Amino acid sequence: MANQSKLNNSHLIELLDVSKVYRTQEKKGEKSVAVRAIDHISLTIDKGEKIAIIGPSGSGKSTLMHLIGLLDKPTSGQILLEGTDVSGLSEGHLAQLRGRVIGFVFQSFNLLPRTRVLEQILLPTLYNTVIDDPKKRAFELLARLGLGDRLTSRPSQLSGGQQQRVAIARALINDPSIIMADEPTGNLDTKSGAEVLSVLDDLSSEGKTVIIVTHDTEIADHAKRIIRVVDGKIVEDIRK
Amino acid sequence: MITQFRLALRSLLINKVRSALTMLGVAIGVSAVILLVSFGSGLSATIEKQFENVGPNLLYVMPGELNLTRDPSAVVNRLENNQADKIQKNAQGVEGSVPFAQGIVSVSSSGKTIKGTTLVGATSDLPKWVQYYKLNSGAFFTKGQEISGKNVAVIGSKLVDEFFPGSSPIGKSIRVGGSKYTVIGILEPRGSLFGQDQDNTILAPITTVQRQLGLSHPSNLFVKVKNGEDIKLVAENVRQVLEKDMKKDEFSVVTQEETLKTFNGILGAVSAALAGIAGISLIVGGIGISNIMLVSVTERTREIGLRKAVGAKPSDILKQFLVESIFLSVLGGTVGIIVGVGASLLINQFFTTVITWWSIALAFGFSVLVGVVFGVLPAIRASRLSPIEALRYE
Repeated sequence: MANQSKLNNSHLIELLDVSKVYRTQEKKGEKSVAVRAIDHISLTIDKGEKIAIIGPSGSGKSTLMHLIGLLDKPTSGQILLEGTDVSGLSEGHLAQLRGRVIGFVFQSFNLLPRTRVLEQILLPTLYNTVIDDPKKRAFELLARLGLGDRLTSRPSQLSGGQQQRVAIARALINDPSIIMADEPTGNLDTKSGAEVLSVLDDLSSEGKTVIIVTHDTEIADHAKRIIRVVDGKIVEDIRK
Repeated sequence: MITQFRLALRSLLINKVRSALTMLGVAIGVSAVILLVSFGSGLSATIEKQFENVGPNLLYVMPGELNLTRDPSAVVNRLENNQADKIQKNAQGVEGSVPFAQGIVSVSSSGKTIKGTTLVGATSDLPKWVQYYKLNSGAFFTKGQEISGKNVAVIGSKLVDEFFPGSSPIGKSIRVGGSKYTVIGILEPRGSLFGQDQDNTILAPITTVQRQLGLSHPSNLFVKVKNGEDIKLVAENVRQVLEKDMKKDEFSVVTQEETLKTFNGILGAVSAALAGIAGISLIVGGIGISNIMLVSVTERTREIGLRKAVGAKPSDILKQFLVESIFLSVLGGTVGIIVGVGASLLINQFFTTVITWWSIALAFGFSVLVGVVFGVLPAIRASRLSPIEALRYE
């Protein structure tokens, strides 16, 4: 089946019967227990889709995003990126794919401490050369995100909303086709959150595939497709 | 690799405090070891040089038994000046022998007074057998001056500088204790040993010195041996000659080797103590380095997680951390060498220090090793975590 889909028009991302099992740490009197965070999920995502993955905390929605984003390897099953099986690739290969194809936005921003905005944004270009003039692109992105005057600021000098916009610029620097955001507004006030969501909306309308993980149904309403995860299983997959 | 280097340098510059503290740890360890070892080596070299100065193939005859722990004032001195002649004539393998008598006196001239001068009395044969006192100018005293107990003096450079700066002291007079002496010669400068200025010395005929100090016996006898290989045998010959005058336990014959051994025993303890201190400074420096590296593990683990998430391969991470650690450790080590060697040279102005290559190599090697291991170890661990685990690390 997988081969056939590759021959025709392959999906951007395809999960085939993917499971992720964690083992809990062994404690006194308790043996380590296997926790099935993702339980036999199959899923296809196409180019240009705007998807919200929702579910209560502990449902496995973040783990699902990590698997889709190649940040984590499945315990069983296959993950195909543009029709190619990537679940068996080495750490180095996966890192290369992440650097070129996927941009991440995290709830806690994950900026490097004490590092200036321009260097934060250029970080992905140090490991993968995708674009010709990274600095020029960094300036363009900063201007677009309203951070043109913040080139030499450090994270401690920025507001939460500004830090998240720096993180978005960093995610976009290598011009990836997929943007993944894990609770991107979780640490932000309503106004900054709205700004970040509108940036993600813009990216979607430019044709990028945007995947947002959230527990907030209001944010999910921005998306054209909502995938609800409970106990490691997809219980609902609605296209609007 | 150039990218890794720039990456590492940038990271070091961004975390200036961490970088500086790590470098400081390495530098302190390295400089402490170099400095302490140079102290120990300096002490050892000073002592060995003094023994070389005394001249090879020497035996000492001392009153009483050789026992460092015994109270020296309890020893009854039964040595006689003429025993030197007896040894020279009757003991086989002996080239010559000189009796010595010495004491501490005050010396004055030209209105100035110097205290704590060592007054050394010997026979006129002294320059023939003992190379310890070298004449700079003038002359030693003669056999005639020795027999008649003339007040003539060969003086050390300290006394020359103090009493007769810029002019020749030969023929001038100085007062030793209450008596007037005529200066007939000047000794070559010898520096100091164990904080004692060896140039604050006067040589005079033994008869004169014994009269001046009220001594009826020589302090000891020097014996020059013809062939150094026979020294044990000759020592036994000397013993047999002296046993005609004294009981076995009233004197001892000591080879230079034995004296050196006694000193080396003390020196060995000193060196071991210094090596111990150096070892401790290395460990303290090492703990300092590893502490700073480990304190930043949490922050760095997250940093590694992020770098991996945005496309860094595990090998990229390792290279960056390796370059960072090597750069810091080598730079810190170099600073340590400069400071250690510099301080050692500075101290050498007051107290002999000898910089040894092995101490530089050991200190540098160890500190750089510790720096690199503790710099890279957390990175190896962190680069094995998945990016997500590393990002969540607490």
